[in-house]
Amino acid sequence: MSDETNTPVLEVSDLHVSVGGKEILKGLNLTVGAGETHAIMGRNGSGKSTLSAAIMGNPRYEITSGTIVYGGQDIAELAVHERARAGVFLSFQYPVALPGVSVVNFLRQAVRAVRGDDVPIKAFRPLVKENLKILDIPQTFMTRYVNDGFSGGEKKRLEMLQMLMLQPTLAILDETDSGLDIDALKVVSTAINGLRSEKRAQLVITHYQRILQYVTPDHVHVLLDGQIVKSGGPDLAHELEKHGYEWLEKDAA
Amino acid sequence: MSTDHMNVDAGPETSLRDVVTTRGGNDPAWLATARQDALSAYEASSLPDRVQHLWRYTDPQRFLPGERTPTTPDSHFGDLPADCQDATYEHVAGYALARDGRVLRSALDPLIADKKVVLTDLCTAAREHEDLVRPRLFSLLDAGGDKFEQLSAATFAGGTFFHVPRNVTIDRPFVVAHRVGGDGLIASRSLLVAGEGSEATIVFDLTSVGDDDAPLRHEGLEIHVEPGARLHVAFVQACGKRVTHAPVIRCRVERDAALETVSVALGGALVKSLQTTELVGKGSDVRVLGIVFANGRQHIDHHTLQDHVIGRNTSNLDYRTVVADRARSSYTGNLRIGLDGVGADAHQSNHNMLLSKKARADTIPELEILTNDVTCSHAAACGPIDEEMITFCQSRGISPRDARTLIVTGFLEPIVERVPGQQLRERVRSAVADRLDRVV
Ligand SMILES: Nc1ncnc2c1ncn2[C@@H]1O[C@H](COP(=O)(O)OP(=O)(O)O)[C@@H](O)[C@H]1O
Ligand SMILES: [Mg+2]
Repeated sequence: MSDETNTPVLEVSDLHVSVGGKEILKGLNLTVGAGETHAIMGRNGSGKSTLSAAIMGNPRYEITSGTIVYGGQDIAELAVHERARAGVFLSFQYPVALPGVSVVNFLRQAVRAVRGDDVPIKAFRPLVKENLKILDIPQTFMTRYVNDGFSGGEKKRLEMLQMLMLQPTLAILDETDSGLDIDALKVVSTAINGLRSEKRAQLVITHYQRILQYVTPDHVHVLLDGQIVKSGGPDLAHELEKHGYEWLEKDAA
Repeated sequence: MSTDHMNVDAGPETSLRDVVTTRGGNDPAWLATARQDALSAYEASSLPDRVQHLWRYTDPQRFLPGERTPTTPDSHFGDLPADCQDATYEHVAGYALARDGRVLRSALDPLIADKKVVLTDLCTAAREHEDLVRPRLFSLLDAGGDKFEQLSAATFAGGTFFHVPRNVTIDRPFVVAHRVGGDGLIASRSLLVAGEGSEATIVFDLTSVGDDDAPLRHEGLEIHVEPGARLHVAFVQACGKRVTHAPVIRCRVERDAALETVSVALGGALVKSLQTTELVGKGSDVRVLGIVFANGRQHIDHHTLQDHVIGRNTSNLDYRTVVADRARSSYTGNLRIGLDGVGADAHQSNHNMLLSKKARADTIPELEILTNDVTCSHAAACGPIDEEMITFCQSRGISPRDARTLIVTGFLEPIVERVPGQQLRERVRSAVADRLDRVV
């Protein structure tokens, strides 16, 4: 029993990832325990989205060495949908549009796939309704096509809706905060906080500490040129805000 | 140009002449004469020139009757489609059942019949409604001078005549279910007229009797949308995989009128469809929508022309193609703005999704603009399903196979949802789903 509770949700060891032959992650280590929320900060191009894509299993991102262990299991061989079914969720920095696919249909299929069982429409409807309310999304969203013609903020809310519907064990939020006004940010933060539990874990990727005022992380890591160069508590986010990333660049050199 | 093709099928045409004479025997004299004239025009014309893009991808010889003789229409329709069993006319305004080119039976909601709407066989209409038929029949034929159009005008066994009188508006669709069988030549002509200020919807549900039936169907349609009228027409073609199908659809849209056509092409071994729309008045609005979903070795070729003879009107064309296995689709489209087309707002788009390496789609959208002050655009694309879309779906637990199904269905959906008649639309959806099940 105690063994199980001590198993980290995510354990990334010496991870090297290349995209199109170019190495982006260069020996990244990260352990996220159950019940924890970690923030990953870093400027544009440091490899944050590459890390999230590698954890999700996007085949375009090649793992050249190192391991990703999820719930005690090496997931190298799992396809993207198998990882999702195992409880991994990624809120994309740039969500993809699916023209002609309605939100309601997409959610239904996703929930069915992740639960491995059809959800009766009777149970599905109130669940959607409740989550729409949490996210302050109008009902009219449901018949629109997934991300098709959505504003940046609408896309992020839809990502959060999917997260709430799927109740993932590991949620990775790749710059879900960027481009949101303060009201939307609060709504999104409420959704993230609502999902926190002893068994779940969260990886909040951002380059502003703004969202961290609403979602308090247990640990903060700084990603620089494909490696985590500094880790600390919530205070690290404030220091970064004050001193900028140059401060760490010198340290790393 | 291709005089060497001129007498390719001179032999069997002697028997065509007999058929034309026999079929014309039941017609009023003016129509019997028109048939003979059409046959002469057919015989005198050469095969279409393949240098021009209209026939670049498809061999016109394959549409000659050759050894095939005109089929005598079967007098039994068979099982009724669900839409035609609506005895209380709750969902449909009326229906017609056609076999092998001839309308066997038609029925209208009595309330609509009272409004003098006509839905019947064209040959019957030529006798009973000469005032409506004679001034319009074959009047749109000259536009493209198509050899095969002359063939259907000469040999047609019958077809649909649909007339909505002035200012009559009908909220439910009319359904024409047309089933073909055998392996002969099946020719039909249809004439649809939406009178001034009227509003109506009509759907053509085209099927074949069995999977082995292999007729050659030449179908000519003329559609008149008179001033201020609104007409919505759908063609759902789900014939068996051995049918050869050559529809020629001629539309004329007058001032302040609106026409929307939706064409769904699922069946047939070889399909060559030609649809032209003339906008002859200002204030009109034309939508030409279509999907093609081909698999196996199907060859489906569509050509469209929107001709803004007069301007200050709009046209939008949206054709979407999905090809799987070794299927092939060709789309050639022309958008023409004539010398008097100032103020035309015209757009065409053709997107093609390839589901296998051996599938092929060609697309050639053309613009021919003879005046200034117009807004025109055209877009065309061919490619496989975007991998990022699949990965996105997978990240929500959806398998790659289910993701492809979802994406292709979504790609076609904006057109499918424009098919009127809920039952027919659902049938299209399930036909698409069945086919996807086999090819993704
Ligand atoms: N799909 C891709 N194709 C090519 N280069 C990529 C791709 N994804 C990321 N990169 C490159 O990898 C580096 C890190 O990118 P990314 O992980 O998106 O950083 P971040 O999310 O921190 O801004 C950048 O130099 C970027 O150009
Ligand atoms: Mg990023």
